[in-house]
Order: sequence, then structure tokens, then C-alpha cells
Amino acid sequence: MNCDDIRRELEPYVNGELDDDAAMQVAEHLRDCGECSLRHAQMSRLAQRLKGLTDAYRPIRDFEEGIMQVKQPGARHERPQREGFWRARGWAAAAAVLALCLIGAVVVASVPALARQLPLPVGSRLGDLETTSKQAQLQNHQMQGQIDKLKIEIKDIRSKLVSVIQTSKNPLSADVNYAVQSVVMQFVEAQYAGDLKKMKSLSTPAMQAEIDAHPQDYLRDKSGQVTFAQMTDVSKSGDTYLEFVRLIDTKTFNESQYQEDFELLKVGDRYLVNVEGMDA
Amino acid sequence: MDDRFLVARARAGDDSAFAALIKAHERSLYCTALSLLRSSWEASDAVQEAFLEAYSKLQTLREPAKFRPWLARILVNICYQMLGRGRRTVPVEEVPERAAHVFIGSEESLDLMAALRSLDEEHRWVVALRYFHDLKVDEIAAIMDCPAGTVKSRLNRALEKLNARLAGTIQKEVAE
Repeated sequence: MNCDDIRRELEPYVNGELDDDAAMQVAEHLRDCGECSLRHAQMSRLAQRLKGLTDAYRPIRDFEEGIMQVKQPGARHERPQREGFWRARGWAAAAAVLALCLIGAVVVASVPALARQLPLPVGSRLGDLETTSKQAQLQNHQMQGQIDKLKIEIKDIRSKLVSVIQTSKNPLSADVNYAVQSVVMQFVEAQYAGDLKKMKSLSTPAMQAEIDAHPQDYLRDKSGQVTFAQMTDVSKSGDTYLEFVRLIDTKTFNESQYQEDFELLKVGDRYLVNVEGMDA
Repeated sequence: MDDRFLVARARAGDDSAFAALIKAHERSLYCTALSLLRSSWEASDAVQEAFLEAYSKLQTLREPAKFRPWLARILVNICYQMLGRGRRTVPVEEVPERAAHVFIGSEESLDLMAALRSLDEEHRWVVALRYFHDLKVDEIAAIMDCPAGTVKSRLNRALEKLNARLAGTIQKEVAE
């Protein structure tokens, strides 16, 4: 075997995965070839460091307990630098309530459902699950009360009838609502059409750059049909217009709804998407 | 303790055995998820989802000796789903929990993880499955649904890139 052949086998050699004959050939070559020998030493060191990487992270809490605590689907986390998205806290809180209520049934159902799937009776753990379930039901009940106080109306937006929930204490004008919601709707439709050009035409330069950098983050399954389940009315914080949309599609998200969160800026007389985030 | 023994006990209803499996594999799963996903929170979510799924499907595992690659495959699928979902945000009233893991390693370990996260996705997968889960080339090929030769060449290429991106620190360590 020449140096190229040997180097191809170095990785399995370092990890003890070559058969005896092949390992012997590599070992003999390494004795005679300084360059391959150096590569072998470097690869061994790198392999050792990679294997040691798992010791560099310690769990804070015990997953033995965590495994029984089914988290709410809404409780997803985001990178801290995007905190600015949540400036309109009061409005966003209402929208969060909306999100949790719409998926609440899934939360409550999933806990006992999980318990039923467990291989054998889980004794006291089942009791914990039931407690969690009851807490979720109570939380849902309280949230339902808040939802009942919200005003919902059916609106015709771009020839689609959409349930719009009023979450703002001081609603913006109907014109602003229609304009912003139309842009958001067109953006979502472009996501499902795989139309990056259209998405960018509805975006600020910053968002255009973001789409160019991570197009896959913004495209949805082209074969799916999307339904606008619910939208919030438009809220404004500083110069930023905020809009939440709950969606269902016939492909990727056909079992449960999901949400897209939009932040728009007014540029001239147009409203342009400046941030789009996805939420469970 | 041997995975087979723990799997057998867990299947018989012994939760402490499943907890032992979690403890044995949790760091490997976390490192894999962290190398693939966008944040430590997503990684922790993926690990938790993987264990929940493993717990509920343990009876379907045909060969208890293959628990490690089976669990890795579950995590791979979850990570793919999470990557496919795009960016996610958190409702405002949900105060972000602390990440479920804390970094306790050296600066070199941080550099190594950063270098790994900078690789192409296909290279990150093979390195993670190889070095965090200690899987054989054939097992990785089965999970990634590609020929063993592809896994070998990706591993070689990935290690070359890592070596280059660590800007000579490995070479220096070897020279010492």
C-alpha cells in the first residue's frame, strides 16, 4: 500500500476497526514513513480529544426526573440575541396565550397517552404524570378564561376568510391591519410556493440577506397546502409592526398547528418583513 | 453496566435501569445534538425528546445489544425534524429555562466544538456518531443510509478539516 492508501485507512486504524492483516500493513508502513507517522499521531490526538468532548458538558438537572416531565410544546427556546423580538410584551403575552390554548388539548392528551405507551406499569411515576396532567388542565382552564375575553372576528384578507383575534388594547386602523396582514399572507404563500424571489420582494434588505444566507430556514414543503388558521391583529412597538399567524399544512405540519411570528417595518408606503420566526 | 442488561431490566419495568441508560448515554447525545443544532437549548430539547421516544419504544428494539446505534438513530431523526422546522422562537411569557447542560471543559474543548460546528452537516454527523457514540463505520452507514465507503471518506475529510481549523494546536500538541 502506498501513502494515499495508508492515509485512507488511518481513521479506522486509529479506532481499531481494521482486521489484523490490514492493521499490520498500516503499522509496518508507519514505522518506515515519517510523514504518515506524523499524520497518524495527529489523528490519534484529534480522535482522543473528540472522544473526550462528551466529558466537557455536564447535565445540570437529572434527566431521570426530566424524562417524566413532558414539556409543553409551546415552551421552545430561542437564541438570546433575538430577545428584541418580544418588545411588545403585553401583546405577545396574549398571542402566547392564544398559542397555548390552541395546542392545549394536545398537551393535556399527551401526558396520559405517553403513560399508556410505556412498556409496563410505571408505579409512582404514573402518579407524577397525572399530577402534571392536572396542572396542565388547570393552566389550560385559566388560559381559556383569558381567551374568552379576547375578541375574535372573521375577516376577508386577500379573498381568504381568516379568524383574526384582537390582542391589542389600542387597535391600529383597518387599513394598516389589512396592509400588514396581506404582506404576511403573501410571504407565507411564497414560502409554500418555494418562491424566494417573492419572499425577498416583501422583505427589508436585512431580511433579504437573511433569506439569502439561510434559504432552507424559510422555505416550506412545496407539495403542501397551507391554511391560515388564525391571525392576530397588528400590534405596533416603536417602528415595528408585529403579527402572529397560526398555520396548518397538509404535509409537514399536518398533525398540529404551528405559528410564524412576523416583525415588519414601514419603508415608504410599504410594509416589509424584517424578521420571521417559527414557533411550535 | 452493560446496555443489554439495563435494557432487559428497563423492559421489565425497572425505571432505575432506564435512568442508568440515560446517564450512560446522555452526554453523547447532547454533544451530537449540540454539534448539529442551532443552540444549546435546542440540543437539550432534542436529547429529552430522544429519551422519551426511546422509553416509549423500548419494546420495539429487536436487539438489546444494539441499543446505542438504535438510540443514536432516534436522535438523528429528531435532529433532522428540528433542522427542517427552521428557526423557532419562544413565547414571551415562557421565561427561558437555563440550558440543561453546563460546559465544564477546557478552552481547547470549546475550540474543538466550535470547529466541529463549522463543518458541513454531513461531516458533523459522521464525526459525532463515530466519536461521541463510538459507532462502527457500518453502523453509521446504516443510520445515514449511505455506503460504508462514503462514511470512511467523510470521516477522513472531516478530520483533515478539523485539523486544519484548529490552526496547528493539534500539530503543536503532537510535537510536544
